[in-house]
Amino acid sequence: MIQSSTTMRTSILLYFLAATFWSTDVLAQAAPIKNDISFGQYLILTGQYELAVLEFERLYFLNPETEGIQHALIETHRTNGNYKRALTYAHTFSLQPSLNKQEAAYFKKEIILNALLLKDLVWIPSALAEIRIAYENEPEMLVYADNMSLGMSILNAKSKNETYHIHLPGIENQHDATLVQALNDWHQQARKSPFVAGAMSTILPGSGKVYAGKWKDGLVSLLFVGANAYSSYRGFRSVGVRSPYGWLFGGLAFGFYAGGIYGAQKAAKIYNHELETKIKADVYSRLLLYR
Amino acid sequence: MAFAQEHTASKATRTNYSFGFTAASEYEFVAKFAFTFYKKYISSQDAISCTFEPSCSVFGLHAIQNFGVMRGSLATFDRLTRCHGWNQGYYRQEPVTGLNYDPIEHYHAH
Repeated sequence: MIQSSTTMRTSILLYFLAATFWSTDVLAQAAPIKNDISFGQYLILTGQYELAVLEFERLYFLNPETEGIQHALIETHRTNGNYKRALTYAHTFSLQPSLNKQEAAYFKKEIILNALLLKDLVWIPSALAEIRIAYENEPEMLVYADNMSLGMSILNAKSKNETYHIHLPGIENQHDATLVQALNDWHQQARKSPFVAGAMSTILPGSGKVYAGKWKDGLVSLLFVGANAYSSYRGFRSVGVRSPYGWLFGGLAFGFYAGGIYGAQKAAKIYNHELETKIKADVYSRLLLYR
Repeated sequence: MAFAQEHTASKATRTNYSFGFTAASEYEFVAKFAFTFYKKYISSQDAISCTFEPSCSVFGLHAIQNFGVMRGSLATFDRLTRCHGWNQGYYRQEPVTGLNYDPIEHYHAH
């Protein structure tokens, strides 16, 4: 009786073990687990970028050699707004010794693009220099580097005459027309001199602001100074030098007059800053189109 | 600066100003007293009239604290001449109040 019971238990155990292994094998054959990037691509297609980043990070952790994982990681991080992470990956991958030229160019361009998005421009000159050396016989890459360099010279410029751009031989006529126009604008568009603005307001209150492009402020400044100066004049004329109104309005007139001179030179500086910021913004958005 | 930040009240809210402040110097005391007096007894009785955010009085206090008495006063007089109804389009709009956004940091940058 005891022997029969033991045999039965053994049989049941063997049955469960067999069933377990058989079912696992069947499942494995029916749907083999693939560690490729297809599910991550599905997540991107459906707009689930944060999950896609996690999926690609998982795949990269499991097997860094997974086909397409390096491009997918960089692009997904960039799309998800993690420019710093994308830049770090692009830089890391660009250092791999076994890269072919096409792959190396891709990573260099990603370094530049993510540095632009991060507004961390210090990465760009060295990447451009490496491109110039590595691709000296490939016009397409040279044109890319030259246009990028042209744009960078504008982005880094701090004054009207401070643009430094290396023209590479043989590709002079292939510059991006938008960038060339921006460079011309940078050099040719007239800036306002803060000194002239201040001097004009010294001679005629408000005229410096008109010169700096803010004629309404200039008109109000003239009215403020004129009205206070006239009130002061009336006070002194009726009571003499001891007139409190004369001194009060005289002080106010002087304050508005001196403030107008100070404000005129500030207005000229702000005018120049806004002009240059607009040109730089156009260049920046143009450079972001380079992929 | 903390005093000025505390008093950077939005036009949408009325702050209850108090004379219980501390000052590091005589001039700072005079400036803070004048500012508080103006805010408590004059500005509070008036409808919204300043076209800027922060208002001209707050800007003046910030200017003096950032630039010192001389430049701060000049910046304040300049701000007062810029505060008029024709300056739409010269400045970015503050999203909550819709007023012209012109903090001292913008002025300081140039």
